Amino acid sequence: MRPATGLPRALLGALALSACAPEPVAPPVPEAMVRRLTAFEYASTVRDVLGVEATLTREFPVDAPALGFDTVATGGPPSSLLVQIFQHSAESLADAALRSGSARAALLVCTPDPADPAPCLRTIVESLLTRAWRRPPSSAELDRYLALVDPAELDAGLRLVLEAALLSPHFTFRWERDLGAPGESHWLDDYALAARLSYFLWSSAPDDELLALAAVGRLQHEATLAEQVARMLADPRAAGFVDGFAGQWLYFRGLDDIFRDAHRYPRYDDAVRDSMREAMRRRFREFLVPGRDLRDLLLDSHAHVDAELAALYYLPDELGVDEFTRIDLEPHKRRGLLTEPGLMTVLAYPFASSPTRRGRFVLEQLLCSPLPPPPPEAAAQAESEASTARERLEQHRADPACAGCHAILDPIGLAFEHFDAIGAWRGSEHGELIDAAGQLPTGERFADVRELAPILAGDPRFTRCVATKVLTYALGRPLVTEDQPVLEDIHSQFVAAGRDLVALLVAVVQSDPFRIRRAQEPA
Amino acid sequence: MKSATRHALSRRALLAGGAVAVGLPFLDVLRPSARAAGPVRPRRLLCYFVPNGVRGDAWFPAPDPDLQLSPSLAALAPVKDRVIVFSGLANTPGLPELPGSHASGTAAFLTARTARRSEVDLHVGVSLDQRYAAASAGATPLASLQLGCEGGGSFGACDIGFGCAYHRSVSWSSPTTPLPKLTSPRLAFDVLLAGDDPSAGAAARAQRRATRRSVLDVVLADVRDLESDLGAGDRVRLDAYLDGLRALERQVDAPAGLGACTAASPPGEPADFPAHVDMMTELMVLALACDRTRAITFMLGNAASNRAYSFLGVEGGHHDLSHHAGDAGKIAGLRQVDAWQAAQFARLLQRLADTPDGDGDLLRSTVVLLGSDVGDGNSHTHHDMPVLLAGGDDLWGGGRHLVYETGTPLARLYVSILQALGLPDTSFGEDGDGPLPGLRLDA
Repeated sequence: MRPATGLPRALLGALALSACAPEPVAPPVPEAMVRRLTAFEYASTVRDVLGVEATLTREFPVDAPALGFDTVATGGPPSSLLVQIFQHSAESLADAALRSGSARAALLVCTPDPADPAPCLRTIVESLLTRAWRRPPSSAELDRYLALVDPAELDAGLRLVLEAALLSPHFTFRWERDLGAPGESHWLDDYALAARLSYFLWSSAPDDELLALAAVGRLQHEATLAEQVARMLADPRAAGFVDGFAGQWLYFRGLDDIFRDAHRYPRYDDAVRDSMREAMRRRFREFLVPGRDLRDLLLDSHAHVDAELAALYYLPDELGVDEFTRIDLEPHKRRGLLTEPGLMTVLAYPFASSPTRRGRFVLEQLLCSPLPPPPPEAAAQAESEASTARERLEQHRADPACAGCHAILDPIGLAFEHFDAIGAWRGSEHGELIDAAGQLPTGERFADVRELAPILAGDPRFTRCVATKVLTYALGRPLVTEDQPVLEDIHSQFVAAGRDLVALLVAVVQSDPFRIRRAQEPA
Repeated sequence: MKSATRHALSRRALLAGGAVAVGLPFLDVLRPSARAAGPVRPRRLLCYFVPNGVRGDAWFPAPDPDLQLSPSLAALAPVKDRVIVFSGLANTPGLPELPGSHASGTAAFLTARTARRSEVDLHVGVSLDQRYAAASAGATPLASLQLGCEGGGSFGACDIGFGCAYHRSVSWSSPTTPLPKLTSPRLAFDVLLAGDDPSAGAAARAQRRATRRSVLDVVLADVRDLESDLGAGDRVRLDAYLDGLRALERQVDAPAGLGACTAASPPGEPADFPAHVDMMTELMVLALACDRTRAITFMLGNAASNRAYSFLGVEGGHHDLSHHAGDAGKIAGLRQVDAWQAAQFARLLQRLADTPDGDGDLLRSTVVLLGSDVGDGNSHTHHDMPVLLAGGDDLWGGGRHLVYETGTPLARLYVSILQALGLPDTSFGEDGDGPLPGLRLDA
């Protein structure tokens, strides 16, 4: 461990609580596989552990999401190519860390005494491995890494230590030791729990406070977990949850890859795209403090707008919007998340809006009610001379094979038709006035997306869907039948707390599958 | 034809920077000593994927055994005599039970197996390139290389119940392991050269290898520590990681030197899509010319790619165009995209033909296959697949159009390819029950 720095305040608080160990017998949970760091987690971890930017991660092969999340996809085995990329990355990061004055200084937690450098070297390497591997190294591991360092050539030795520490499977994967008999469930050791917490809420490694709590075995305490969630959400590293979870749930991470035809959408460029993403981050981040109802994500009447977005909102120049500012959406015929330019952009084609994609987003991401797949003959679409999306879809619905699903999908998707492929408001398409009104199969009528929003927010499927998405992201695996009672419990806590997202996150980290591991069958 | 040739030559001179002799007579470029030479060793395999199928009426040649290039394949003229076009081949295992043709067709492209419809329990089969990579493991620093021009958004679902990996990988090292591809030219270059700096001196490179060895020894010891602690599920992941580390060991232990790669200089950031394709084309030629690997897959786009081809004056994304619903404008655009893709492929072939290898050229020693996820993009067919074969002239010549009965398994061609590469395989995938008759000149 690093030299004693004194126990953090939260830790003292935890120690002061009466000894209340978790119940001795861990309830059974489904088996989970080791998870590799996603490219995003890798970059955040390097930034927080070494203090350098892992720019190469932008060029890593994309972690193709599974169930919508990269955290689920990285449960699969790695390819040899990826291992070679990790080697390449480790070498360039070791170089960067030793070149950067601040990173090198942070690495050298003490100054080796020329007469007796060994104790300080040991401290340096132990501190590095503890933070990079999210647990203290064993003495055998420490000796192995120390053998790479010749005290006479400190930087050359540290370079090798850094390269090995970052290429080691202890860095690139999050291993959780089996502490029980095969097939039996047991409480996670505290370091593994600290890592689950930090990767869930920060997409990064545990900090010193989490490691210190793990060192004294206090992390499993439910009150400690709740305290830590509050602390971690207030930390700037919670941006990892905004981009990691919300970026994938609400698709704004996908803006990176969105192309628009430059002639048809001259206003769309990299700067606008970055602002679209930032506006969505800011909207979501408002819910990371206690006391807000997550339904307001859909209902809020304000938006975050900067100079780049001002043109999309047709804001008059004299308003002089420069930095991000909250504006009232009432005059703009918009409301909440559903009219975010970034969301409208991701859910569109390069040259046109897409009622189908927008409808699917609502059904799949907000209500977790995906439609069955279309019939095979749906691929070959008939010729159409319709001028509006509504007319095209009406022709499509004339086919009985398509009508069933499109009766559900189309009214929702068409409610967004006032927003073009970059989310700018429009009154007409090809000279015809846009009609965004619709009726759900359950009977509710709405004039446009502003009236659709409260219907969706009030749908009990919405809160359940949020709970499902958060738990899937947190566990990095599909939810199975065994998880259903846990999901029910988490969901009721969420609703009972007034649909407070912070309460939901606390319920997730306090849940059995988050704190318990089932020992795997022997190899 | 004449202007196309001049263009190819000047482009080659530009790209090769004088490393390759410029000014070869046209016929030498077209017909090197391909068929006359002795046994070709080593052989390489390059599989080239284009998304969304093709517009068949302009793509498939007239049914004449002597290849008459169709409008969409016109760009292949300079290398026509080294190309075989197939008609009638089907990849039936690519047909999903429910929709999802792009995912299942892409997964089946090189596996000829039916992909399991799942987001997490991925399962299809070992791909053609990986079968060859496994058989030639250890011969080159990289067992195989996966490249592409489209990373794919890190969000959302891809195709009705199929995990996104089916959309973005055509190489599968095991039925459950898709191999992600590199889209960054710079990172691909670094991986190819294994991080060796071509401009560094021999002593510096030797030093680099020595330090890599000590780092790997420590990391391998970490793996050994872990091994004993893991259950069956996690052990599979660690073993895959260990395979990767062993490959790094082989690189360190291989004879020093980068061969022809010492002259290579790293690519920059591509300015646009055509520049990106150019860079990847050069990297593929470099990888084969320096014998860094013998199995390459390349995805010009991901399954269902909706890339816009504004630079061709085409309006609409590729996938949207492919579902043209009979719209004449969209069909015209689709043909333009097909022709442009064929031109990219033609340039790759030309660059391989321009690169000497042994007593022939690199195209002769490379089996190059082009294919797609579906036949017709509008109706998602898995028969009448667009299939091109190039290189390996000594085995099957070129300038041919082989017309098979509709429904003939594409996987039979894969058996023929594996046999041509020296493997004993007599079957492949679900329906490759033997080699494709009439392909080999000697059979």
